[in-house]
Amino acid sequence: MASTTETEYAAFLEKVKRTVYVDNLSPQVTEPVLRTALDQFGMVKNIQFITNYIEPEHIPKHVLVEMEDEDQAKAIVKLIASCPLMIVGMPRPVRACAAKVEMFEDRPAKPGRKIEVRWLDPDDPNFEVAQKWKKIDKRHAAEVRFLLKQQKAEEEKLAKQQADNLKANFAKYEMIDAIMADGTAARLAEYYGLNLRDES
Amino acid sequence: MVDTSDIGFKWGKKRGVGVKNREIKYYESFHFDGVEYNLYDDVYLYKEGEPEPYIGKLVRIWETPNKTRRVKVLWFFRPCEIVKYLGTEQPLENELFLASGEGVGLANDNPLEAIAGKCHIICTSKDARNPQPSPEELQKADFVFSRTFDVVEYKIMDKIDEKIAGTEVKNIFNRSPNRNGVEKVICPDKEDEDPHNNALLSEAKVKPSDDHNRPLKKRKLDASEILGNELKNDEGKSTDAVGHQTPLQSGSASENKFRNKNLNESPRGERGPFLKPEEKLMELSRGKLDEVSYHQSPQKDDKNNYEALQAPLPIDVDKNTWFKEPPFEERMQTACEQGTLVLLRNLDPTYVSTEVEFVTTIVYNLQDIIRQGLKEKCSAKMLPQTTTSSPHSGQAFVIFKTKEAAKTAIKKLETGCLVLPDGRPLVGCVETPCSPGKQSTFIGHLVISNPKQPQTRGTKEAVSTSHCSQPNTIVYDMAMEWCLLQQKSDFVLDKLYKLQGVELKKVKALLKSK
Repeated sequence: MASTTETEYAAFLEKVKRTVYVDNLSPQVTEPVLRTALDQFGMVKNIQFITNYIEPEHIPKHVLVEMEDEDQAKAIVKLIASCPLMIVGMPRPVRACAAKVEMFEDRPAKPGRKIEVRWLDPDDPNFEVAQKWKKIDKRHAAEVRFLLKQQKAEEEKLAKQQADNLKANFAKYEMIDAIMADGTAARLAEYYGLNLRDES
Repeated sequence: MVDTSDIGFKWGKKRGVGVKNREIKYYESFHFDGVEYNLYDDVYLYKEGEPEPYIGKLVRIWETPNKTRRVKVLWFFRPCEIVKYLGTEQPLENELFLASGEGVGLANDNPLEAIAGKCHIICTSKDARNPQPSPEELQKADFVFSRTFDVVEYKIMDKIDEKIAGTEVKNIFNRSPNRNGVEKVICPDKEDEDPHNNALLSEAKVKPSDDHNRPLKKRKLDASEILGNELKNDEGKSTDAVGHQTPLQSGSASENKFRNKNLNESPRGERGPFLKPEEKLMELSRGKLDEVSYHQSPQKDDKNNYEALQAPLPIDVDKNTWFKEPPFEERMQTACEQGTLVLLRNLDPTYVSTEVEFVTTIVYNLQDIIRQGLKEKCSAKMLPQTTTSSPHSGQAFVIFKTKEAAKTAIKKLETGCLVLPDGRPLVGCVETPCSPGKQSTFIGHLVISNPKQPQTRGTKEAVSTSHCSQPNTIVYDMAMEWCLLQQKSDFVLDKLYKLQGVELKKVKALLKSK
């Protein structure tokens, strides 16, 4: 009994090693899309989206991708780190890193661990400390929430900036296209004695 | 030989003289700036213009015939210096990699004056010949190392070679308490390339005044990298490449920093290797701490007078019932509406759902036993960690049977303190889970909307497929902006968690002292 849980856990750890954590995914990314995207770098064995229970909704989708072996997983992490991979959308790339045990929702328990929990007596000298600790934890959670909010704002700012730039560029090209199409460019070229055709 | 012309410097124990050139004197120790240095000590080496000093091991100390003092230094690499080759490795916060292999970047001769101070490095290699450090020693250490970085293959090795740069492995391991200092050797290893020749060579080619106080640290690069870097010479401050090369032949070489500013190295997923060494606020890495606390926690409370409640090995007793129930997400939504959902925080992040369920049973039962004498199981879900979640505090959603029970549990956790093995108190609160509503847009994905023309085939395909973008496109530039932002965010978040970790450590210390 004990040995089976241990082997199970060992097998799980192996699986963790084979797995890549992929982040910054668009909500439109589905399993088949991801599979095609990563199949070009190795054999995708299993894809498991991490359920977002609590994080703010704007947090991008993240997923655990199990590859055939550890080397493939490492290679993918390396590749995504070295050249930006875009899945279903541009220009924000996805990012990848090695998966960690805690990322797995349905992970088995560490075998042999016993948890002892107890209520502290209010007279216990540690009681005060524990109360303080709880306060700190609450503050920390608030700090993290605030920071993530800030970061989201920054992301939105960048996205907007890029969108504006893109729009401006697009408008520019549209305009060039238009004057080429309606003959304005040709007329102007004639007027100024320029050769528009690229004959080189 | 004592050099009296220089205050603050004194030669120590003599080791021998050169084989070919008897005017070269080798030493085992010296005093410099009020500090005694021995052979095989780890030192910081100052280099102008570098924010961080280099770190190396003194493997030879000598004086040349023209009275210049030289040291041969075997280098340690900081993780940030070899980021490109780390792959998925996540080095410890204070981990270094010893250079190994035969090649450029392994070791260099430097003027002794470049030494900026002593560095306390502990070898954590599990090798039987390595005297294992005590926890106190580890606490005190500035850095630790157990792996090497091969300067030829650009690979991280777990093993330490028998001999690196002519230094035997026993001199690389920690010093055992009884074998203090260096073993007596009359002459430096002969099979090593002639150190004096080397020294003279570099002396001849590099003006002494030029490289004074500046260590020559040269590392090997791919030819292509050098080419790329030469163009970008002097530009960046990014710390993401191995590429600072100082060719021995060029006189002002040490001033030339070839930094690889290519951003395509940097957008890496993990945060680990970007830790700045100055942030080694915690002497032990987080990983280490976790490990230690895991090993110790079961026994820790044994002496305590309070009755400790022990969790049995979590067994999936309810596996069958589990599958009959709707998925947790659905139940969670209902529970939220009914007010029976409680978020538990400050759990050990390594706990699994079944373990949380057990913990909750205690919260639940204790109040229920009084009221009804009932033992009922509640269901819990340990929230999976992501790259943005806190490494200090795990979270779990728990569904209680009744609203009343949930309320009481929160209150009890607020007024009382339910502590886990490592002393952390549980925090309970009401939290609305995010609704699984469909979200269609994604920040950072742009679409060109052109009402006049239908999308051309090209743009359509670009949106629907996945691809690696090429460095010569606008998209690539935009992607780089995202990578930069991502990295900034990661860095800030990391810093915050680190500060929080320090704070928690302080609280933990309070716990123990009482």
